[in-house]
Amino acid sequence: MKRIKLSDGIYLNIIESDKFKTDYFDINIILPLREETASYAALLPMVIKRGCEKYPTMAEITKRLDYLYSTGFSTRVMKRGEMQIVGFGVDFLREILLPAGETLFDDVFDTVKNIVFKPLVNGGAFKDEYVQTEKKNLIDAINALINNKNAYAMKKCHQAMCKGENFAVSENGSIENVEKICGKDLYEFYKNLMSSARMEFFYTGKCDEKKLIESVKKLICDIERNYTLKASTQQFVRKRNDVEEIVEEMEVAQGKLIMAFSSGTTISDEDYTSYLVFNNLFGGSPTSKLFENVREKMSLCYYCRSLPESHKGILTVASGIEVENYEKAKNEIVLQLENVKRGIISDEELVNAKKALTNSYRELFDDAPNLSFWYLSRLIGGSEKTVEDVIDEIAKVTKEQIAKCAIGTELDTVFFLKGTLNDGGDKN
Amino acid sequence: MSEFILKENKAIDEKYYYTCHKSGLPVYVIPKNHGTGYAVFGTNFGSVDNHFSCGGKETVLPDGIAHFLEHKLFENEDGIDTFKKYAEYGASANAYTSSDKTVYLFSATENMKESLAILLDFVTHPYFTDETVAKEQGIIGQEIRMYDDNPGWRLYFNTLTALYHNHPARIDTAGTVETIAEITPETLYEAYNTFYNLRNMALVVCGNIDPDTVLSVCDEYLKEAPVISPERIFPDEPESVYQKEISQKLSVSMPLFAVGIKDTKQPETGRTLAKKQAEYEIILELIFGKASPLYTRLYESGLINSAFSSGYEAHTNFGFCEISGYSSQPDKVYNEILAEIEKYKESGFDKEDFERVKRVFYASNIRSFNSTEEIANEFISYVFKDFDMLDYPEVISSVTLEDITKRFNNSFIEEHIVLSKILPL
Repeated sequence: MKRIKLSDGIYLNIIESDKFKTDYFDINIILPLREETASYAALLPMVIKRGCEKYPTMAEITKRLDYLYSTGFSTRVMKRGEMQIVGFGVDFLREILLPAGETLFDDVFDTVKNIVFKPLVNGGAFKDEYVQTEKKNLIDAINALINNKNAYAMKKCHQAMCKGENFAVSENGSIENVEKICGKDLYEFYKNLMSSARMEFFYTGKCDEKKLIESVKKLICDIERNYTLKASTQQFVRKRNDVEEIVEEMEVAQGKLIMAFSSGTTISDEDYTSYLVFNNLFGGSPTSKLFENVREKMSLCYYCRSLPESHKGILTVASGIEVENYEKAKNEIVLQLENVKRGIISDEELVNAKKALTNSYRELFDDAPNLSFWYLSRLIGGSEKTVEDVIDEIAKVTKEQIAKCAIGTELDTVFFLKGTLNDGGDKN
Repeated sequence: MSEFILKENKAIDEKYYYTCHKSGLPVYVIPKNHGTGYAVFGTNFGSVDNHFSCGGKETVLPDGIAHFLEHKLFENEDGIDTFKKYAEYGASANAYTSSDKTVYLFSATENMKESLAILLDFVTHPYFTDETVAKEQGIIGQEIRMYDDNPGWRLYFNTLTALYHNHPARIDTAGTVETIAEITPETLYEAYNTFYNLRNMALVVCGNIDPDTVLSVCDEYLKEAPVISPERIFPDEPESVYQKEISQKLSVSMPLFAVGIKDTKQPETGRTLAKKQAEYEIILELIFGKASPLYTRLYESGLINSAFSSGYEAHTNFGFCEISGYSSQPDKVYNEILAEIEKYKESGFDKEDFERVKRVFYASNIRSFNSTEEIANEFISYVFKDFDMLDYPEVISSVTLEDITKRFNNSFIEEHIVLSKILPL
């Protein structure tokens, strides 16, 4: 990967590849995750997608993208640690696949410039009609979290664990804050974001580098930069000596068990790679201790897996179980962690975890959006390691390092979504 | 490589090698420069295939048996779990069961040959005992419960329940806790011996691997399969729908809706089926796509959000369109959809829009060749429908405005349309 500084806080990252049918380009704007601004950042791409100066309706934007050989345009809002990321991505056919003489690259960049950097603005405000509809859609999306019971339980668990910290803020903000937004404030937020936030551009594909740099520079040429909005994450530190257990009842068939641990380390730490190997061995794969014991030996669940939040320093175990198996499953998960702490790790387990992880990193090279996101996540966590660096480090991780990771992993909060239904709901 | 036949599509710069291995197994190798190799080994046996006759004997197996079998094949007589065997070579393995097929797969960035050997070995060596069957009933029981709480999944199967009177498409892929309780090692062996015959299966390997290497692994692990011809038995399915409306209450934040349109032209395979699929997809995009007047109207009036989507599911024995999304007023959206269909019956489709949408499908089809995973999975799905994935771009190009107008007028009939809803508690 080649990294080029374009302006203060703006970088272009180029990953050269010719194996894809499409080129992939994305824009990532990174800001601190805060209660006051999270809803603005979440609403922004939704309003931007509705129309711009040149293509003022959604139908016109769609027709333009369709015309550009079905160029894909997507938006996303995510959080990593206590940073919020507003992202715009395009993927478009490589010119060699077009009918002879046709070009696409310049048109795609011109369209991106129009949609993202020349929004539809009237009297210093985004179009009110769009803002109002999208506010409603965003509120619906916030409420819709409950539709995915596992995601809901996980969010509730993290919010309880990090109460009062910025990490507890949702990437969609809150209904209360969404309701307060008006088109004028949102436009002010947009202008401020463009001038003061960090931007990371990623390009995966094959093209003339000079031309690419010129095209990206053209995107941002109208912005007056004042890079002051710097984002970072406060690592999770336990505030209690005991474990908090929260039980919430819901009319669902299956219980959702979420156990959140303080991991004691983050992606910024030099030896974080050993934590990744530990996670894989503990609950990150079908040969992990959790899969083998909680699912295969005890037959308690269909899934039981661990997932690290690498910026905040949290490890979360999630499983779907019968309500009466709550204690049984929880105790087994704790026991399996204890086993790793005591160094009960076979050679086979160590090798399997390393191989699985290495394979998943090598596979990243065949998935342009994920590869970009992997680098983005690293860069905003202050790590400049490449995929290759991490693969080399994986090979060197020892059982002692893994046990040390487990020892640093302390259970903090348990959330149980207790199902109260015995069959699949009432159907007619 | 004399045994292989080379097939190329120069326009999209793709090719594959095909041979029928001496065991009876069709083998496809698709060369790619990707670091990730991807292999799928599947059987043309899914959740709808549990009623059949073979050698004069008629059998009905419990609902959910294909999916159960998929889980159970991962266990081996030597006691070593298949995931562990793969792990030794760093491959990532999985499997899935759909209505019409069961597919075992792995992806790997090294040791393709060794992992391929594991794939061929474990799928051709069933091992079921009372004990392991009982253990799996607990695990799959939780998988079923998980889907019971998944509103999108419930919406989908309720739509199928409303569309079909008798066709087994209306039955959940995994069965129910009650039907899987009927599964025994004997029923598993019966399903296995009938449908895991190499002549009823296919192997697709996509990546940086030599076709001869694939063949050498086949030579080592595959024995010639006996010629058997199981006949699937499907109940008579009337053209009409089973019920016009279905709804279920779940803990959701707002209603979900799906409008199902039954395709009564069955069974179809090969190019006929592929062309039908392309026609349906173009029609749906024209009426319900993001650039359509209906989408704009419903979106701007707040009746739908960006999750609104439409698609056609093409199978050899059944097919249907599904238009789905979230809405606080699903009945109103349903009526708007019906009215829009009537409107197009009178006005017909715009030539320019038709050309635009064709171009979209042509390009998005090319995009599906970006990943070895997508290629291999799509490829095997077409193989079981007796169609060649590399011919699909040409099929899309061949669709005319007259084709879609005819298809639309004959198939988008109100009596064949159902509404499925998931409502908040």
